[in-house]
Amino acid sequence: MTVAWNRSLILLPVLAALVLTGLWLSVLPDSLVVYCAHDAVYAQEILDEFTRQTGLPVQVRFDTEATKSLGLINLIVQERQPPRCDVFWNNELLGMVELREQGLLEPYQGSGWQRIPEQYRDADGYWVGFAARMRVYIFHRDQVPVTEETIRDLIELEPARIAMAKPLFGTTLTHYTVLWQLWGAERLKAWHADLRLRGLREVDGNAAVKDVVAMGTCDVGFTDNDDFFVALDDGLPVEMLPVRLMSMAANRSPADADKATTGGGSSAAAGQVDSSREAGGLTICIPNTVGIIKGTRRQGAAQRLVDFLTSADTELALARAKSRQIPLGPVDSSQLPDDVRKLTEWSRDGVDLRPLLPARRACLKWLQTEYLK
Amino acid sequence: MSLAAACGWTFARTVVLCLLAAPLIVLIERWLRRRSDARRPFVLAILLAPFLFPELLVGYTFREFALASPARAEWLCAGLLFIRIVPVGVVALLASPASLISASAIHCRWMLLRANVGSRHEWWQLLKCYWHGPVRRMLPALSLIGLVSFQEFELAALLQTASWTDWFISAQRFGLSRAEMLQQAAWPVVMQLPLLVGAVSCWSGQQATRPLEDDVISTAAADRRSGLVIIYLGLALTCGCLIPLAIMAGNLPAGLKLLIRQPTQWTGLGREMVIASAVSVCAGLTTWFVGGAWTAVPRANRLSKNLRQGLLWPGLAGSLLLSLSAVVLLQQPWLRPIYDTPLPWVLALLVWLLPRAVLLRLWLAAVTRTEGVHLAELLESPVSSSGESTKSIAVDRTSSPTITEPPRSRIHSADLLFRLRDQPQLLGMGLLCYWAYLDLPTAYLLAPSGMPSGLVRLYNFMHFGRSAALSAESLLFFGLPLLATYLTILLFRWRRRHSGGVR
Repeated sequence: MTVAWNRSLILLPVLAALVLTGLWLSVLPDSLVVYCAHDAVYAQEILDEFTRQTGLPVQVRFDTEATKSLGLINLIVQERQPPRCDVFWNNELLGMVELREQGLLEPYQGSGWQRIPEQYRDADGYWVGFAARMRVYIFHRDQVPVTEETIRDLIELEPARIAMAKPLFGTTLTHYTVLWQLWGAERLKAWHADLRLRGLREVDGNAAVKDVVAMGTCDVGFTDNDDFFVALDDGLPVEMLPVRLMSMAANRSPADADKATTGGGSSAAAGQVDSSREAGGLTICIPNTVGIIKGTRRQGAAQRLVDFLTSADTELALARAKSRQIPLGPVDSSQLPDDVRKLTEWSRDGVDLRPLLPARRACLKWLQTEYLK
Repeated sequence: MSLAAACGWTFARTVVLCLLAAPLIVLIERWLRRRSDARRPFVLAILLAPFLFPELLVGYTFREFALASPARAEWLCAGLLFIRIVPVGVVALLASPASLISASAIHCRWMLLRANVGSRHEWWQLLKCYWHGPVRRMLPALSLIGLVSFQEFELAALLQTASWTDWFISAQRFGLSRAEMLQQAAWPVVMQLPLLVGAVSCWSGQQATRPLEDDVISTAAADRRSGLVIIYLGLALTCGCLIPLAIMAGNLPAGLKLLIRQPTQWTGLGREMVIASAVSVCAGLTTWFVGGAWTAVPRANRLSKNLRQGLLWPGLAGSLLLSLSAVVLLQQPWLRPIYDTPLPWVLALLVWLLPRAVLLRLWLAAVTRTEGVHLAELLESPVSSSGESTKSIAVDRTSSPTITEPPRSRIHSADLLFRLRDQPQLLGMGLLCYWAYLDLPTAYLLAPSGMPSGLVRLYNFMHFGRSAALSAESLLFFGLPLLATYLTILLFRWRRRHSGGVR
């Protein structure tokens, strides 16, 4: 290289650094920083629409499919002073309860909060739910009959044909929290250990659960309804049923659940589908939630986004999207797709997740010893 | 899987792959040495293609296939890793100094041993011969491929195979405390230690030399094996590049149609590419110049040499550990002001790329300081063969309309010099920038809010399965910088020709 060339090449990184600084300065002042645990494929469109309608720029940080929700929650906890995030769009509820407990959320009772039923919002307005998903069993309909009987048989006889995401993160963590509360710690641990020992297929996210079932590698999987609909829209041979739980046990208090920590393991294999014996058991309906981070410097814009996300229009948009989210507040039901109407029926049996924070904490502690030794 | 088990599994995979790759690396290196100089760049390009091809695309292509069973995923991951590490080993071996013990010397030792089979001394001498000869020559190459294999992140994550890198990402997201994270990081660091020591020995300052004459195997034996090498290269190129490329290209028309219909999508992609490119150029070229300074420092005392080599260690530990450490460090109150800026991202890339830059510099110095380059430089020099200054010729011709063009011989020499000396250096710079562009852990963990690299978004979307739009976006994201690099090289070449190689 000639000396002149080297000189001109030295200018290139300087130029790149200037571009970088310019880009950084251009995003810093007025953009609303949103951490979003909801699937990027659906959330980005909604946030773009918010920017289009309000003119407020939004900078989104998504997490990966495998580690979503918990990864962002921990990031918010780590960044508490000063916070980088303004609004947290979570894809589940208990993480918000945790953030509220830690004093990291700002209360806001806006128009969205008013229209959402009590079960899916914080009483003081620290967070509010919207557009829910159901935990469902996804079946490969050409390989097994679509009945709860099938699940019970597979759990008892061939768990290697069942797929599940690692319960460390996301809605599978909520699912486990509910089971922790429902069965008690010992029974859940025994059930989990037994399934893993007998070859349960653990994958890195609910989308991967959908994939392995749709491909026929597994017959059944535990996933969310949005992942199921992706496979269905692709013309794959899948069918779904809601995960149902015994109603009485699910409503036990956390203290009761802690007491019931012995002797539950014997019937663990069949426990997941107790509902087949008791029709009309509770379902797991997990709303998206949104909250404003304490210490935000863009409170006005943050409140507008919360109102926008929890509005009937956004709920309808998410219901009509490929993910078929279930509206929680009142919406014009004539505009809902048929699939969502069915889901809305199921969601009415949704277990109240708000009191489950102690169970979640205990469950997380145990999962850490299971997966992150 | 516990961290210890994950580390153990990754290490076992690494050892097996290194042992399997070693004979093939030797075979390909010998085969390459026998290629004529004119064909060697082409063969090297084919050899290196699977290593340079974005592994995110490879993982994305084979993800569905791997999901069928954990065993299949493990085999696939090992196979694809094998394809990726072999080129690294071959290049490292090509750059290694010649064996101190020739093949004929070892043969003589064997003959001596046959005469004294029971003699421990003879056995010991034979082992010493192997150690100081072929084994010692192979060690840097083996260490480098071991590091590449052990630090694998994207492939393991997308194919869902057991890996310590995946464990660490989960732990970081799970919110393990700083102390715990640092404590746990000891596992992979300790396991990498022998590999790091071996790799650092590459930077001992020795230059590549040709092997001793009798190290070169006979032509007949080499011809028998060249078929094997060609088959391997074909397979590696097909699995590591062509299949992913074909799948992406197949989805391109449909994907582009979808993209064009969504202006926010492609403007977003464009912005992400600008951000990633700016960071990569900034980090890549800075590292290139720092690497130049590193290699230019004259040999000093042992302490200074050790200190210089010590600068390479953090980068050799891999970008994941580096980024995780940076995240932990940036949580300190006194470093918070730079936390949400691009600075940590650029700095982490700089540290990570430094060993690569130094290795590239050493390699290029060995490759470009040849007789051919010297002759081309003489040809380009302002004094013609008749002793007349070409500068004066140019001045004398100022009255003619065509005299501003440099003399034909100088154009040719400029062209030659460009191809022999400048082009490899430009490619080296481009390579560093492209590595920075492709590095997921730094972008994933250190990019400030509002300045995401498209790489993270694509990686995220790849977990949802294959789609036409995603394939098109990926192809654009990974392909456009390559096109830009190619155009830059053309531009430099044109400038060099038209400036007549003026220094």
